[in-house]
Amino acid sequence: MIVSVTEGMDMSKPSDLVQGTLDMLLLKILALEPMNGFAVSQRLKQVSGDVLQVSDGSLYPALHKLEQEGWIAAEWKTSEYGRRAKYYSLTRLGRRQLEKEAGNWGRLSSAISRVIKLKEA
Amino acid sequence: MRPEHRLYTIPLRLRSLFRRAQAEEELDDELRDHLERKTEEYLAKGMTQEEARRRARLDLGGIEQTKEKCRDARQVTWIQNFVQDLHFGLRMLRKSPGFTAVAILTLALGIGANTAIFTLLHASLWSPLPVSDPKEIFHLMRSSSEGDFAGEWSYSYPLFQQFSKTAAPWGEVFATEVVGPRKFGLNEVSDQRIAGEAVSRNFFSVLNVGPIVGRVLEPQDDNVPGGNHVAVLSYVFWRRRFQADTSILGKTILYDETPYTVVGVARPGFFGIEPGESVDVWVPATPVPDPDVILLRLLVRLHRGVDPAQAQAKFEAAFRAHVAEVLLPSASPRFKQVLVAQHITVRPAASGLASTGREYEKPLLVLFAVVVAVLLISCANIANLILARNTARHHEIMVRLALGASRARVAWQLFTENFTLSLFGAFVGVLLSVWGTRVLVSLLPPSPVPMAFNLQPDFVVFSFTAAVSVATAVLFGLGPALRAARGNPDMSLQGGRRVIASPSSGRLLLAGQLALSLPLLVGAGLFVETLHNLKSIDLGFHAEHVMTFDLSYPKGTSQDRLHQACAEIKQRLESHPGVIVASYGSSVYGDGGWSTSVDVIGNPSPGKDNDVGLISAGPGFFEAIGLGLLQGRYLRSQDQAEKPSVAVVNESFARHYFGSNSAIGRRITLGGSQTVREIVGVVRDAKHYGVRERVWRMVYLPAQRGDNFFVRANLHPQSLAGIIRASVAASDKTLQVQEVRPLVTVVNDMISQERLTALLSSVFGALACLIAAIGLYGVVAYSVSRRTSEFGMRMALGAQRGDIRTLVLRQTLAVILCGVAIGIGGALVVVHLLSSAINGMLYGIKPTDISLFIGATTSLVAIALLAAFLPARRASRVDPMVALRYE
Repeated sequence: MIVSVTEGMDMSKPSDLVQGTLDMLLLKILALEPMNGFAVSQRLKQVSGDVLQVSDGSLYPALHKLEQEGWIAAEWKTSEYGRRAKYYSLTRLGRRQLEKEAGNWGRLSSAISRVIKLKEA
Repeated sequence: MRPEHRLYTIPLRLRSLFRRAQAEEELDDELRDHLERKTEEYLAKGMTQEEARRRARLDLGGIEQTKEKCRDARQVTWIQNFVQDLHFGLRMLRKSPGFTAVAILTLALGIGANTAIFTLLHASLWSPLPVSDPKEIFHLMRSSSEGDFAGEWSYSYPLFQQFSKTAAPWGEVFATEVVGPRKFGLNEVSDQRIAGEAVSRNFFSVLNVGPIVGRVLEPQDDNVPGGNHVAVLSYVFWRRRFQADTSILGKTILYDETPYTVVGVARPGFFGIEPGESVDVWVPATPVPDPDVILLRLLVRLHRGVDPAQAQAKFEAAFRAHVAEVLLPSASPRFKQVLVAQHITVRPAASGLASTGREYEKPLLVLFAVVVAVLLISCANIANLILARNTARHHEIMVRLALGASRARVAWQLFTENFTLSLFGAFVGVLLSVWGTRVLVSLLPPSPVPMAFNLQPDFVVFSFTAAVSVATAVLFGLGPALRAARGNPDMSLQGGRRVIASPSSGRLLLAGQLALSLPLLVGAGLFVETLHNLKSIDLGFHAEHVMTFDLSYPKGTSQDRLHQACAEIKQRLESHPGVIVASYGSSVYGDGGWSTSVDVIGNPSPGKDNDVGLISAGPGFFEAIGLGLLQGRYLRSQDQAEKPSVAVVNESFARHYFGSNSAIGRRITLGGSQTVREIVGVVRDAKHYGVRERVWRMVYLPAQRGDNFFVRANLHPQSLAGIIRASVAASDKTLQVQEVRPLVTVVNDMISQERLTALLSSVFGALACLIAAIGLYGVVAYSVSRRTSEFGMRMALGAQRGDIRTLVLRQTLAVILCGVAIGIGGALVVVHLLSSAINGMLYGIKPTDISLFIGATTSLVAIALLAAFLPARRASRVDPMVALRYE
């Protein structure tokens, strides 16, 4: 059996990010204010001090998935430059989801930092 | 995920599905917007226009791929894929109309036959009665499984009362007489017959069937003066005959020539408890205190939680007590044996009495097995066609794999295509089955009450067909689809179009088809031989050229008038040219008949069994039915009036009581009566009670009247029927002619089951062979065409035409022999099953007789070889030069 050509690299996986955290970050960013996809990518880079790199190719599928889940809603607005753009905003369900994920994240990260801070014998 | 969450997202999903164009456009806009902004950003960093655009695109990682991922994120792609596959499948099927037509037709035949048989089984046996909690209803079957009186018996009224008392704490017994055609009229008796059923008064209350107007029969009817003469109409009859007019309530109708008051109409949908019989009028059964009058069929509704096995034990005990106390003391020795052999069975009757269904259950189940086998053969055939087609499409499939379609996606697409085929097949099959069930029912012999099975395909039937079509799609379509998606695109595409696909699975399917066909052929042969054996049984009389009819007359017609009428009708009929002889008597074939005990004067009874069959015979009776005389004389018209009384006996009677001595002049008395009869003639033995019954010792008594007429004539049946009606009408206007039909038909109806089984199993057996032969032809022809260049090469290297033909045939013969070998095993199982488990379906067939096996095997191999020979001959005619240039 020969592996088919499609079973190669999967470029959508954000290799820099812990799995599942991209959703949480996007929800958090959209919780601040509604914005379009481009702005989301700019803001992500900006707030994380260029540490978190999310490829544009992964961003849009992730946004669409969040929309599909009903956590964010999209509407078409005319932007500041008179351009039609798709703006995403957090829904009530999304806010609940963000709280849940942020809580999980908090527990996970504090547990990890406790382990990391253990003094070596 | 929480349910409300799913609900919330439904509109989005539906939008992406149905407003696909808009969603696509928005996706385009969104990504274009992103690219523009990104390009601007890079421009601001000082890149050239071209460089900026390139970087923006690179960041996005390919617009089309990103789009596809966004679509995937919307999770509706599988539906879109399905619709897309369906479109594509339809286009592919349209591209090869020949393949599509053959496949759909084969499937339609298979699925249609299955649906038709299922519909009949469902309508006659399995569909629940339209009453509440039908599962609580059981049939109290009184039957014995052996001897001359094997079969179901009815109950007397006292036994019904006894059973009601027995069951009182845990169930309610109710009774019904056989549904029969009854004379019906409003003010005077008319020709019209309706389906009437006499039932116990608790019939409606136990079944929990109420009225739509008026009331139904009630247990209290006994206490009402004249309570016996109330009638309940069925809803269908009320609409049909009285246009649903409520003023019929309280009016009097004539039912069976007796006035009844209509008290109500049963609720719509209730037709009675016998599927296939739609009752028009219900009346209360008359309580007959005589324990020897058995008219009632009994059913019981068991209270919830009552064990039917325990109920059966209690009924059996009550029955035994009744037999011992009431019936045995006055029974003849022979009847005693019969009574002792009878037992009560509590049979689940959620579908009602189902008499017709149970009569035809075995043949229908056998046919069901046959059509399932035919469907399997069809599936194998189509799978083979598809395998061949997929090989031809190998290149296309490999290109799709190379372009990035996943294997699952390709397999699913191919399967969708096959599933589309099976859906079409099912659609055409349902249409065929609607026609097929009607044909099947029309093959059944006519019953006194017109058969009224509900043959409309309902939810259950449609579910069955849907399940069958999915199953067939999986059977014939999944394997080839998975197989096709298995190849390696790199190697295939590099190697050009010359793909050597292993033909092993195709050969396996072929062998399987032949292996299934052989048992079908052998089974059909067994049934045809059974029918042939039954038909060639000597009945003793000659039914050809004899027309029979029944005479019915108003109640209370005097004997004298009937004697006169019978004589006059006989005379009128015989005065027609072409009529050889006309006579009357009791039924001569199949209707059970009467029996009594005989005393031969001056002869000590040889043995205990002195029961004889009785038939009353008018003058010319033996001549009319063609029963040959061995000794003495036939009965004459003067015999009834003259003394001493006379009788004619049959050969078995004479041999049993007188051995080699002459029976003529010997005297007998019947049933302990004082009348002494002198034997004046001995006739040949005849089977009056059915082809499979043994020959009884018979006594024929002279009669001056009879309800059954027999007319031997050299006339066309139709014109003879006209003459009969005219003659009877001319003799007496109050007489009615019924059931005018050839005696041959009466005889044939007795073996209708065997006829049906033989006919249908032969048709399906032939169909199976045809399908298998087509499959074989197709596969061999295909492999020959693919090997054209190989053959050309062989011939160029010196092979003769005969060598090529032998090569192809030898390879095919291996498959054929392999299939036939497995088939012989299957056929042995079939013979074993038919002759043991489903006994009674075969007649006069020795299991050791292998001529049928040899015949079926030879013909199957011959058909298969012929199917293979045609393409083999074509292979041998290949011109080597043409063949080598072929690629």
